[in-house]
Formats: sequence, C-alpha cells, structure tokens
Amino acid sequence: MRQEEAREALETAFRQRGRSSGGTEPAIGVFGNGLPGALVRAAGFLAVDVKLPAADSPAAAVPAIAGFCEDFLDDHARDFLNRLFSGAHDHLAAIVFCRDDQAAMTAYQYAGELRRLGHGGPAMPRLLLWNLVHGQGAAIARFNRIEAERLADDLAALGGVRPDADARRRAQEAEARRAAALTRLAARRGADPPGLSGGEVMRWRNAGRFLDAGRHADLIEAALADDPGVVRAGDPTERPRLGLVGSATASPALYAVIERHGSIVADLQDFGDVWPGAATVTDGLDGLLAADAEDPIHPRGNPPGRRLVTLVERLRAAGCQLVVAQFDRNDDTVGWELPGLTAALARHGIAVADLGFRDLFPDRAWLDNADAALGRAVTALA
Amino acid sequence: MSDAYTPLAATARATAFQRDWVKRLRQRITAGERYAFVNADTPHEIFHAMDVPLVTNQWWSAVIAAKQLSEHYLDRMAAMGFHGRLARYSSLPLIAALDGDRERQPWGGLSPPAILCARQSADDHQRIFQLWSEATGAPLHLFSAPGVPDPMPDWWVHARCDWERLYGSARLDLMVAQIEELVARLEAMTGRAFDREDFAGYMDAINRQEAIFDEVTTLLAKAPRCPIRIAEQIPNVMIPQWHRGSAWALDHAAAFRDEVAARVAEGRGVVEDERVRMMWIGAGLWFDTGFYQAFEESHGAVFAWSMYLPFAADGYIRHGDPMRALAARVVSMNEQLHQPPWAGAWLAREARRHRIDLALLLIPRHDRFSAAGSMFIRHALEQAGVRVVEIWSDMVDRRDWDSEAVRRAVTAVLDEMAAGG
Repeated sequence: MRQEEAREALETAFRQRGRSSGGTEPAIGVFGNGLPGALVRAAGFLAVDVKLPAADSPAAAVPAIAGFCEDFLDDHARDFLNRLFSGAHDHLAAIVFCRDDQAAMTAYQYAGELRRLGHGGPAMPRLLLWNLVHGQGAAIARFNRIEAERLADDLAALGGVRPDADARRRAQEAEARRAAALTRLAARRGADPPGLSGGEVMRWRNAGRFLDAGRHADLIEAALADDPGVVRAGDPTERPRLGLVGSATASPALYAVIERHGSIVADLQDFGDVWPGAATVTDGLDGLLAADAEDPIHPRGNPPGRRLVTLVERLRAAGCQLVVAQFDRNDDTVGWELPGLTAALARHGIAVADLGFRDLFPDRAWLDNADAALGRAVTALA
Repeated sequence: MSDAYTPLAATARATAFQRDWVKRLRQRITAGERYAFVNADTPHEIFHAMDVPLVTNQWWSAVIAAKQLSEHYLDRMAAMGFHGRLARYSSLPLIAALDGDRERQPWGGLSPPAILCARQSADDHQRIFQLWSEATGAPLHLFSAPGVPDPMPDWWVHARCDWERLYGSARLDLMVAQIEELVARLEAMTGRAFDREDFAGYMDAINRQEAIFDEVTTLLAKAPRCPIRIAEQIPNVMIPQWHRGSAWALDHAAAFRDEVAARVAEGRGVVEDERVRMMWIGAGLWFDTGFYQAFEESHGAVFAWSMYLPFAADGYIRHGDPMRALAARVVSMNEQLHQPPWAGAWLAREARRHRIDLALLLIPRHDRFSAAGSMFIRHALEQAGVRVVEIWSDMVDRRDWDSEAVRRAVTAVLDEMAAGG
C-alpha cells in the first residue's frame, strides 16, 4: 500500500468512526479505555469504540431521555446515550462498558436504567459491564480473571467463539504489532523536529478504535514508510514542544488551535497515547490482564500516586517546554491533579497553560480565547 | 401545633454521649494516639474492633461546615488551584489540612493520621485521599469498587441474607481479601491481634442494633401521624450508628425505640393537624437544620423521612459469616443510596410505606457521585405518586444555599397541594 493511501485510510476511519466500515464481521461496541482488545478479537468480534462522538458536533438530543440527563452529566456519556437511544448502535451485538473509565460507569447505569424504564427499541445491543480492577496483588488478579471469563461467556453467548490459548495468542500478537506501530508513530511525532503533528497522531491512533488491530498496524506502518517528516512552514526547531493533559478530548479543532503555538509531543489524556494500553504476548491471559491492571498512568490506578509521577516522567522524557491542561466542563476528577502536576513540572522548568473548562465541542469563542491564552503562555516561555 | 413539640429524652442523652465521646476522641488524638481518617463507605467495624480511633471524612466535613468555615476553605481551595467544579463534601477536610492553619480549624486541627482509608466508589475519592497521604505521609488503604452487572432494583429484599447473589461472589471475595489486608495492616500498626471470635460477637450485636432500628422504622411508617422530627431522628440514629455494636449503642437504640413507641401509642404527632408528609433525600443540611421545621406551622407539613434510619436496617443487617457479611455491607453501600436502579427503587418503596406526599431532593451538582441519577430518583418517586421539589445545593456549601428561595419554592408547592393541585 502506498503511503498516501494508508494515510487517507486512517483519516477516513477516524472521520467515519465505524459508521461505514463496509465489513460484515460482527462487532462489539466498547465504551472507554481498559478492555484489552485481544479479548474481543479472540472471541471473533471486531471491537469498535462508542465513546468517541460520532462526528464533530453533538448527537441530536433524544427527547424521551433528555429529562433524565442532568446538566452535570459527563458529556461523553450524554452524547453516547443520545446515539444509543436513537438507534445508532443497533448494529452492534453488544456494548462493553469499561467500569474504570471515567464516563463509562455512568453511561452503563443510565443506559441500563433507561432501557429498564422502557426506552430504546428491540434491536438495542446488550449492555455488558467490564470490571477490570486496577491495582496489584493476587486478589485483584483472581478477580480480573473471573471477569475475563465472564466476558468470554457473554461473548460466546452472543455468537462468538470461546477463545483457546492459540486464538488469544494470535490476537495478542496483532495487538503487540499495533502497539509497536503506535510507538513508532509517537516517536515520529516526538522527533526533533517533529515529523508529524499531534493532531495527525491523535487521529491516526484513534482510527484504530474502529479497525482490526492487524489492519491498523499495517496502515500505520505504511503511513510511516520512508517518511522523512512533514515539512511545515517556518523552522520546526523553533516551535515549542507541548504536552497535552486533562480531560479526554479528540477534538481536531482543539488540536489545531494548540498546534498553532507549538508541536504536541506528549499526549497524555484518555484519547492520547494511553490507548490501547499495555500489549503483551508472553504471559497468556494473566499477563495480559496484569499489564492493564498495573498501568501506572490509569486514572484509577492503585497506588494512585504513581500516576502523577508517570505523567511528569513522560512529559519530561518528551522534552516538553509547555504543558497544556484542559478540562471537561463537568470534570470532577483530573482537576485534582493540576496543582500537584503544575508544581512538579515547575521543578523541572516546565510551564503549564490551563485553558480551563471547555465543552465537548469547543465553540469558536472558546477556541479564540484558548488561542490567545496559549499565545501569552508561549511568549512567557521566552 | 409545633410550639408544643417536646424533644425526646433520648436525643439529649445521645448528644451528651457524643459530646463526651468526641471530647475523649479529641483528647486521644491531640495526645498523639494514632488514629485513622476514613471515608464513610469503608468498613469502620475493623477499626472499631482493633480499637483504632477513627475520624470520618464526611463527618469532619460536616463539623467544618457547622463551624461556618466552609466558605473560607472553599476559597482556599480555589486559591490552591483546584477548580470550582470539584466535590466539596468529600474534600473540605483535605483543604483544611493542606491549608495548615490549625488554629482556625475545629479542635485546633487534626494531627496527621496514622492511616487513611477510602473506597474507589467515586473516581475522585482516591485522588483526594492520595493528596492527603502525600501531605501527611500517612499510608493509604484503598478498596476497589467494581460495579455490579445487571443490578437487581429491589436490593433491600436480598441484602440481609441473599447477599451472595445480590452482590456477586467475585466482588465479595475481592472485598474480603482487601479487608483482610486492612486487618494485617492494623495489626502491624498497633501490635495487637485481631480477635475473630470477638469480631463475630460484635457483628452479631450490630445486626441486633439494626433490627431495633428496623422496628423504629416500621413504627414511624405505620404511625397515623409522624411523632418525631427528623432533626431528632437523625442524631438518634447517626450517633448509635457511629458506635454500632457497643453496649451503649444497643441500649440507646432500644430506649429510642421505646420512646417512639410510647409517642405512637399516645397518638402524639409533631403537628396536630398533619396534612403533608415530606421526605428529605440526601445528606443532612448541616448548616441549616432549622429548615426541617419550616413548614410545620404554615402547612401542617412534616418531614417524616430521612435516609439514616431506614438505611440502618436495609444497608447494615447482613447475616452470615462475619467477615463476608461485613464485605456485603460495604461492597455497594454508597451505590445503593445514589445510583440507578437501586436508589430510585428503594426511595419509592420508602415513600410508599411512609405515605409520603412530597419529596425534597437535594442535588449537589459538584458531587457527581451523590448527584448522578437524580432524575431517575425523581421519576421513581413520581411513579409512586410523590411530588418532588429539586434542591440544587451542596450539603456543606452555604454559598449555594438560598434559604429564602428554597422556602418559597417549597411553599409554592405546598400551597398548590393545599388547593388540591
């Protein structure tokens, strides 16, 4: 495959968000980070994301459920519920909600309760809860294995296969190949000067949320083949190296504004470099589960102090000069990190620009304010 | 009318006991005894069994609010760089600790705890406690909080004996293992051994205490008129619950029951002409408890229900193996009070059996764990024939509390109900 074709395929997959994959294989929706893709693939399903908004504007509100969605509800959960109850996900066999993802538990509970109250049609997919507990130790490992077996039972009951060790290994190998490709992708972005923009990497990475892992790896590899780096206007070496933290965002408009002021070289929010999580092929199911359970950067990781340390390490390692923080308007979680992160980064001479609260789809006025704030922050670097 | 209302003798005894106990606790802590600082939905029983003094996060938050200090600390929270949409009820004590001005704080401030304990029921709990841990050097014991797949709405039917099926064996196994880890930590910290035989007796005593509260709940539900104010109901439950399983707590629960039973037998009511029965849904309104009497004279409207009494039975009675029963008590404790489908189903059942006409639903928008699912609760109550007034406020932040506006809103609904609307 030619490089340009691969890049276009990735852009298309991100843009379409699974709406017209053209594939005929049965698909399972996944809400949130934390489900090892190999578990779904080995059961014979394609995993497709349902948390990312389906477009760059909100899903139309479903009047019958609007009254149940309080204004403080997580915006990703609200957007998903509107899609679910308008039938947009009826082609899926089931939707798996990752309990430890920030919006997923709410989305699961609201979806389940609305259905119990009689909303939604008969074609609505089954709603499955995936409890991968983050932490260490034998008790957690035992619990996570039981959960994986429960998921395997559920997927088999939906027409999938009960995966044997070989099937799981093949799926893990594909995931490992994807992970290696994504590591190369991030490295290209992190090069000096950066060879790809943060926006491109975000879109190409998240395109994989709608693609088979092997196919995604192939496309990334092809997209990176023999690429000396994209030459941009001006001297790239003069552009500040930026980090991105805070609430989950995959807004191309937000990335575009941020990258007017520098190059995103570390993307540590939930739609950034943290997905698809750890990939391992060496230790079977237990190793696969432990790799995710012990992920130090997971927002519900335990011990929790490792997250801040890991954030700082990765931002430093990427050579960030300025870290951009931004928060969902209803954030109740990552905001607790900001003062500590700011102080820790300051000790390493790294500044933080806090863009404050934003809507799921930031409007022009917000983006203009962010643009001005970033301009001031970059000027202050000098 | 309400002028003639006579407080229960039990209330004075409970508050006097708690005052003395708090004084002793304060003395123990200020004398340097090691204590635990814990969230409300953790297994306090283990700390009690190990004789480790504990301070509960939400209680300490209420103490700070009652001392009219919440505005100061919420301002400090902003000055420290924490944005204004983070939880308040769960975080006031942390902010007070980070602020460091101990002279301003109740008791002259808390010394650093020996251990911190929280459950990951909400995403922010582990962050709040981690910050506290970093500030004090105290180790943090975190309980995992996996969700329940396909939860049964009528949880209270199954919770006392059939909890294995209700909560799931894997979740209970995990909780038991993590409680055992806490036991080991406390044994190492105190140098004392955990006495399992004593613990079994203690758990049995708690069940007996909660059974008494179950009797009180039934008495109040069936009484023709509400015989006591919830401003009295709450301390007569919360204080013994704090000391649950102790001889004093059992005696007090029985005395409280007997006093309520006597009032019911005498046909006494908070108001002579009881016309509207109300329920207060949410944590106590710690800085304006007078609100609970505001509509007695004007509308014959009494608050006949708050969650603390009925939850003492439904949320606590767990028969079976003591450690596993404790796990069953805490494994979904908060979720039952707040999240769908559990909270709505339980509150509707409570409203029906207490013949509630009007519910006041507290919605703290900045405490999403407590506030999520509020519209499902509203729906469940309305399906049960209950009118609902939403109160968008926070239990410890009086800045959000417009007393006159809330009174006007409730009055308007009461007027409408009186007019037959």
